[in-house]
Amino acid sequence: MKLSLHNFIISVLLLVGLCFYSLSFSEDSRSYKAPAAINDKINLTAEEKLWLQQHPEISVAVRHGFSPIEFTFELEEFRGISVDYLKKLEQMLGIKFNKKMADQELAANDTDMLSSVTNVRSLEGTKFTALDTPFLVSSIGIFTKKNARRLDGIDALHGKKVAVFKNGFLAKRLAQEHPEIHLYLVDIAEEALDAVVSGKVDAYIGNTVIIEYVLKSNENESVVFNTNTPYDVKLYMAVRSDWPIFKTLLENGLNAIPQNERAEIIDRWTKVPYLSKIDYELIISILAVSVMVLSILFISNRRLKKEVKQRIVLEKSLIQSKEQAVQAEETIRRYSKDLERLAMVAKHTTDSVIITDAEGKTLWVNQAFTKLTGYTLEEVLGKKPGDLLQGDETSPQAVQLLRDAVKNFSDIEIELINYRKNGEKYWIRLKISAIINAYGERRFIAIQTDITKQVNYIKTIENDQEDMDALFSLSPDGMVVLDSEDLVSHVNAAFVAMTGLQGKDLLGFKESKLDALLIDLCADPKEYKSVSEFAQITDRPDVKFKYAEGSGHVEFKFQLKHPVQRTLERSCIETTQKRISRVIFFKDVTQRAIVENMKSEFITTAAHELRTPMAVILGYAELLHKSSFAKDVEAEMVEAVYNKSVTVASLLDDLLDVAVIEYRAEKTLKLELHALEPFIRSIAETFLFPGNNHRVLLDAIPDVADFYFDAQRFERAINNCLTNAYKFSPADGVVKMRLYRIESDEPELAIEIQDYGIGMSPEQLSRIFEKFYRADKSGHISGTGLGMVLVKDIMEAHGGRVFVESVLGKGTAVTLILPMRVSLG
Amino acid sequence: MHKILIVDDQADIRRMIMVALSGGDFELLEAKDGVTALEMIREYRPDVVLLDVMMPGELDGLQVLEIVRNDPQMEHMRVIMVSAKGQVNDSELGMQKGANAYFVKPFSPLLLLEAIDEQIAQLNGNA
Repeated sequence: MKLSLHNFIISVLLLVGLCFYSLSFSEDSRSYKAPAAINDKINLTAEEKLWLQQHPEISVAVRHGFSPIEFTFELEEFRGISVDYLKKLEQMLGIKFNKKMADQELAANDTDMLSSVTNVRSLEGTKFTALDTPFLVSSIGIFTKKNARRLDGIDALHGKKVAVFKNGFLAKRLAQEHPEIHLYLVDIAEEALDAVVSGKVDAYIGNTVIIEYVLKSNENESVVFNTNTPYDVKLYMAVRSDWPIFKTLLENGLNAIPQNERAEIIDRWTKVPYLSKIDYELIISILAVSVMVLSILFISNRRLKKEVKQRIVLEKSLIQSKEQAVQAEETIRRYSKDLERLAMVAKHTTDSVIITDAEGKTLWVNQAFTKLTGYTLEEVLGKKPGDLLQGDETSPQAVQLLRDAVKNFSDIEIELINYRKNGEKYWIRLKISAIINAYGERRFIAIQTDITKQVNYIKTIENDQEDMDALFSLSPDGMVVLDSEDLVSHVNAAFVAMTGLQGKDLLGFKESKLDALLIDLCADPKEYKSVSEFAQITDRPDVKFKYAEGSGHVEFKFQLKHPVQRTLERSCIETTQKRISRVIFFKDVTQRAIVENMKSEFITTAAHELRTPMAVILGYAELLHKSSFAKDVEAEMVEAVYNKSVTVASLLDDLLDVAVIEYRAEKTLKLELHALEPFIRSIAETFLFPGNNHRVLLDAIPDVADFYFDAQRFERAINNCLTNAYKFSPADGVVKMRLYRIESDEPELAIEIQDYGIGMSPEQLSRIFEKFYRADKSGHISGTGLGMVLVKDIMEAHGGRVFVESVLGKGTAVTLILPMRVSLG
Repeated sequence: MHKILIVDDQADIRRMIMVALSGGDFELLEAKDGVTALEMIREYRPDVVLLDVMMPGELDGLQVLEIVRNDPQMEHMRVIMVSAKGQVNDSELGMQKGANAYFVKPFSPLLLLEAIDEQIAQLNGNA
């Protein structure tokens, strides 16, 4: 019971709908029709059957953009009125039509048939002949605003403004036969419909089938069919002129399609509501009946309530999905308008424009495309532009992105290398929009802009940037760059090496973080002036603290304790560049600090060492000059002056030697080939220390080949060691000298000078090579504090070395090691 | 007879000063480092101390000066610094710490003698 009632309601609703439907089209003025069928069945002759057996497949050229007569859907699938007829014919004749897109040059290929021809005369001179009977006759209709008065015919438009296609026969015919009509010439249907809606024109005259299809696709309900004109458009199929038998077959086949099937085909592509006279009385009566039936049903069966509720929910969801569909349609319509307008603009733009189908196969290109690429529309039609334009240097990633965009039907903007027909390479910016046109077809519009010049310019800049980056990373100074928001944007390798701080610790942080990290590394945190301290200074209005643009400003020096002890000098440059606000430099001045420290120490110590003997010299000289003393005292004074003068002179010698050797190293050496034995023997035999009668005890001298050394300086080094050995020995102490070879790839000579004197403590030993260091503080043992420094400098200048072993109270052994170079260079 | 203490780590310098002062009516004392100098100052109460600045050992000349100046018993003791440190700030430091005169090596022994006489005259005047 429940079920049958339900069914009954649906039946009633259907009935109401059908009434409406038939009412809407109850008028007699159909605006287009298929010619009346002659035969319902097709009778084949034996000859025809044989021909069909021999020609099971026929190649048909179908136009791709002639909706709704015929058009391609996603390139591969052909749709439209003619296509539906072809399907019928396939069934009837038992053949297969191989449909392909119509080329511009019809006769130039193996096409057997054309599925639609508007202008029969255009076939003259081709291999095709049109059928005698058109498969579709479409009236030329007058379309007006929905609320417009019903016109009595075309004459009613005299003195009015009427939109009409610029191309085609109609504009010409109207101009000739109805010169009273003011024509408004348009390129596309959309333009004409807009003109009608906006009131720019009073009517739009055109092919009824096409216009209604556009209205339906656009859900345009504000423009409607008004009335017919005496004109019509006939569409014919055409076949190869050398196939008269096939022409007859098609003719008969088309005629055999029943009238209702023809109407179905046409309705499928054009069905829209008409401006018509509606029998309101009938509607009202039907509505009244259905309301009554519904009421009775509601009242009589309460159990239905529940189901009704469910149904309401269902209907709501249906309404929702309908709303969504409407929204989608709206989007599509907006896009399609854009497309049509774009196509109009594209003709004239200097950017190259390509329109492709959903698979990326070219449907249309503009003149600018041909100008840019060298390929004509004919050459690219049906082909994927990439196959022609991309080449060896085109980025595979870019190509993949393009493929993905086509696959996903999505927009993309990309820059890549293309090649012209002549092989010339150029850079383009490709902007592709995925759109759906007025007929619901998916399309891509690609706009190509030649950016070769820009790319070359950018490349130059990039090279400059690379150079800058290289400089930045190679700079011996540490650098930290702050961006426009005063956040660290770069740190260079030198900074990382100096501080051990990694880029990741700093990038994106404020300067205060840099300060905090550096303060942690400082030997004395107070030395580091953080940004907040600077801020305090800058906040004081009486102190101007603004860095000059582009000029470095040394801020302060500070000592790092970690990762190694270093002295860094921080300076800063402010910029007004867009992306960089400041660059902070860290110069490693450790060496400079050491050298400065050494210099100052050297001067102080040297001054002290010179002042003391000079005090004695000056003192006695003045006393001798201005006073008189006992003879023996005067003799003592003169001797002291002499001795101190000798000390000063030798001190000056040593200072000079140290300075020369340290600062110019081996360049000052006079390397000559010498025999070892006579050189050593001469030193050992002539060296005599004042107050000690023992000569040097010399061991056997090894027999070695002559080698290169600076004899004068090497003798100085040996003499300094011997002097020290005697100086720190008792008055009768002995000093031994022993020579031996050190075998290695580069044989070396070792000279060991051993004394048995007072020796040195480990502390004294560790400072032996310090300038002006005196192991003896008593002043009893004379010396400049430069002797061992000089020994070390001389040995190192020769590529050799010195080591000293000493035991306090037992004696010291100094070993000089010298490479025995038998050749120079 | 006034007592003069000569403090210097260099024997040659001490000897030269003693020769220079040998003509005067002085009792000459010697010390070769700061610690010895302080002991002798306490023991012999010299009128004038000629004090070298840079000396090896636990106390240098400036430290000795400081101790002397902080001891009320040695208030009147005259101290003349004799130093190889010739920078202006070195002598200023010495004067700040209470030295009565400052000589930089090399110096004129006759001028030193005059300075000693002057200090003794002041001592006598004050006394």
